Amino acid sequence: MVDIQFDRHSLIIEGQRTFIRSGAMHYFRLPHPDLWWDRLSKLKASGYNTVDLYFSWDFHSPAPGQYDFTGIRNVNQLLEMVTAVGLYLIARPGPYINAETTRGGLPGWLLTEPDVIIRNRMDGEFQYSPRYMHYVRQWMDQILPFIKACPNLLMIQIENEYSTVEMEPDYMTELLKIVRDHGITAPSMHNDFYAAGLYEDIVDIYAVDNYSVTSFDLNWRTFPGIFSVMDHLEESIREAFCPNRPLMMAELQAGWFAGWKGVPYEVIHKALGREHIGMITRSFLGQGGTIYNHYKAVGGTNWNHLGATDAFTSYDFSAPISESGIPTKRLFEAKRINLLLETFDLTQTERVNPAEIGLTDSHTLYGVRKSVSQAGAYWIFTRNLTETTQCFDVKPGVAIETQPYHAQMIPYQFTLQNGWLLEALNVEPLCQTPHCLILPASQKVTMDIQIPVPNLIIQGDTQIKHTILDTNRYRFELESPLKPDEMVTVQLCDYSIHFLGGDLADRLWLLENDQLWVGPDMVRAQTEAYVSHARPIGKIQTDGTFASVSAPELTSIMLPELTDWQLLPEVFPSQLPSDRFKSISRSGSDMDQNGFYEGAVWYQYEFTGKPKCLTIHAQHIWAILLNGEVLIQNHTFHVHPETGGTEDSVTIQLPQEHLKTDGPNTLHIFVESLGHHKGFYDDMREPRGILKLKLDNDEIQLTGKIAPAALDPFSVNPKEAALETVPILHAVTAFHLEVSKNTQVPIGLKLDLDVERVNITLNGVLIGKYWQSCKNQTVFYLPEGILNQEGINHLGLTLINFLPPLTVANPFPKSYGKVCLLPLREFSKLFENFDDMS
Amino acid sequence: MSIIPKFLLKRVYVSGSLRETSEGIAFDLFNSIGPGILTRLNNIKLNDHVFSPQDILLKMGDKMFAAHEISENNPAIFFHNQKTTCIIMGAKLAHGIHTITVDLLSREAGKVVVTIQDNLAG
Repeated sequence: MVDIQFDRHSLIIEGQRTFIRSGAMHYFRLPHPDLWWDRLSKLKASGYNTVDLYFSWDFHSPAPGQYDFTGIRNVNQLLEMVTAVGLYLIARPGPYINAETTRGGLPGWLLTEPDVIIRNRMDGEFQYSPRYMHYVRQWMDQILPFIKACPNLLMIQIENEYSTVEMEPDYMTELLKIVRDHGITAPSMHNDFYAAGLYEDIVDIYAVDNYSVTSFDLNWRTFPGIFSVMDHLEESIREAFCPNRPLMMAELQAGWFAGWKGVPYEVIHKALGREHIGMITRSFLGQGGTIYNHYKAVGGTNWNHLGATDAFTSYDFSAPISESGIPTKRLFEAKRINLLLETFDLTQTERVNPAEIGLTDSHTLYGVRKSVSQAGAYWIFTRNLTETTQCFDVKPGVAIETQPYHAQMIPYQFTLQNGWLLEALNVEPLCQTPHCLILPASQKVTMDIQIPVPNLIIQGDTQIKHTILDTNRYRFELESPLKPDEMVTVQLCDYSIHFLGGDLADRLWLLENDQLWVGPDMVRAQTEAYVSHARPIGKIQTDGTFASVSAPELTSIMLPELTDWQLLPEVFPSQLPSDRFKSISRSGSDMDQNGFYEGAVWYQYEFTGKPKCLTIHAQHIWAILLNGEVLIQNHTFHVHPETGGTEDSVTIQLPQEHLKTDGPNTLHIFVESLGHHKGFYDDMREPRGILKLKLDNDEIQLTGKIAPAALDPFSVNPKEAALETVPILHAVTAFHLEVSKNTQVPIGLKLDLDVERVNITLNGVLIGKYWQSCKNQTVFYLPEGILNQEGINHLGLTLINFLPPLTVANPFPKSYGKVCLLPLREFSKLFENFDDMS
Repeated sequence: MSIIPKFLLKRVYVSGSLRETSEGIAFDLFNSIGPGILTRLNNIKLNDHVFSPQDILLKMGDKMFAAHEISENNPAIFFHNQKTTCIIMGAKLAHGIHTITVDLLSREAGKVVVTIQDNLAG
């Protein structure tokens, strides 16, 4: 285990001050170990030095006392990868994790265990539950040994955004004791949602979460005080709660989730842009923070029934690395910050009055910080929340320009790694090595530098003008911005300064042994590079020259059409074997009480007489059949319990002509749960399935039966079906892929179907849910590892449409719309080993 | 309901702000927690008497809102470090200690119920 100390400035790891640049990844949303390696290695290549992992209790425990850590649940393999890739670990084993997972990551069976008070909290009041803690200890006994065995463990979090009305410490203290009793000595932390000092006296590192943009009908760029909590962090938090420990942002907003009833990801991407992650991160650094965790840095998929009520299949989160593994502009922005922090020391700074360096307050000057580790050095933080470029002079002739909705961190009087003094600069540098300095050149660049080299020989592009200010003091100016794919260099003896246009600045990669590569669109693990567009590519050598490499030919993949569909009706509930149904629990008719924590069920009731109406309250998507005839399909769905109606019942008139006079009538009711609430509002116990059912004014005695609705397209017996119209119809096909090993092509399935609900099953795994009433997702990523990129794939679509029912004979997909495969992005491999190209 | 610690909620109510006005009874709230988007004011209780949104005005900065106009589609922004005055039209209280409960819905925190006591001075 690494040795970790800390003081008010930063963590000190193995005696070295270290700036922690962490990215959050959900391994349970990446359903194959190959995806874990891919995403971890992309994080590393993008300048993150730490990964933040939630560990989902629900994902590993299907029943009390049962735990699975094999296959895609192999935590040991995951943590070995983290170490092999070279990342530190922030471990967050809960027990509650939220993460927009169903029940916040707590197992379904826990909800119905007797005497369990979830999180020791009822209606906000602390209520200790020995039974709950008994199961918590079981979970911790399972997961903590894996975490302890990870040699790169940096920190461990207890619980998640926890609080009670009176703030009793008991639960948190006990969780910490469990961690310590397992021999884990790494610093503890907890993420305070309110940034108000919650539990700061219990944990080693006090941390807060910060999400400034969670509503997308308002423009954050013009919202007064959008970063107000962040902007007061140092004065309200650091001095009060962190006099002797570093300021940590446990969750620094790097995106937001889309859901069934919210805005789609297209709106979120556009609203946040690439600016938001840049502004919020630099603002945190301007407050003196030295530990941040981008939440999330890697998108994922709510495959199977992972998601909570408010999240649909894609959990892209508008993260820097998308759900399908594609580096986005937000990653490029995060990488710029990561690379700067890797090569310039900001681990020890103190806020000072701007007048100390001759600056006056302006609304663009966010702050000035003095370096503690380097005497006389400063950092100038700018932030522009206006729609026009803002300028001020840092010294005569050196004007800092900050673009609209951008922020910068610029060194002043800073000694570079080669010992030269950078007096002043007007742009945020990209990175430095002992041999070079690299600057972005999307705008004019001016730099004053002391170069104590007699008879200095300056060689460089004519676009770079230089002026001798004084003995050994020079000014370099790039007077016109470079084109996005352009690069120019000035050589100063054995030191070089490179200026990169915008696209090249985004595609600068700093790899092991100070290798600097320019041009690749995607890099994995320090070894593999890929391109998706033609542009200059090469390595910046230590002698300052640029060694180009040839870009591979960019090819377009041909994906197969999806044809030869076989249509298989789902068996009608009245035709299900009687032993499939079991009596409804006396504890209640909801799904949890009957052992169904997710998915869909069929209820079956019988009654006699001729009632006039039926009243039902069911969650979420439901349909009623009376004596085999569909009466209604509907949904009752809301995200906040309080925003739903206090009474979500629906009353329908029963068609009297459908009622039998010579025997019992049968009701079959289909109910599909879209997940439990994530529990942020203590609402995860809100039941699913049928909550109330009555005929006329009588409550029906709950003596009906319940059966799982399998909805599995690959377990239907074709011989069982002989119906012309059905409410549930499976369409299955197979397709062959041959994706070249020299490419990376994430593939999606696009649905444009006039069907209310469609489940997507790929090679036996439920990988997507489409809901026409909330048409927020129509393209579904097919995760590699589930998707066989070199061979046959079996695809099943379960079509669910009660009104009108689906006609078996209608050709698919022609009668319903379109279904096709599409490439989400195409990357060609540049090479597999950087060392071979050196 | 969102679980907001009592000590934080107490900071939201401006102690000593309960007062009589020409319109009725007023008191102040101060948002010390963070920017908030108010989507519904369910009610305000003065002791046991419940006042519906129709009876309540909100003054935020230089803007005046009728509480019943606030909705998911027409939210009211509760800025960080901003004071909001709640005016309960036509209400009357005797001098002395009273219990005030504000029940509202915000996008960030869900349902929030703040209960405090304050003195209406003579």
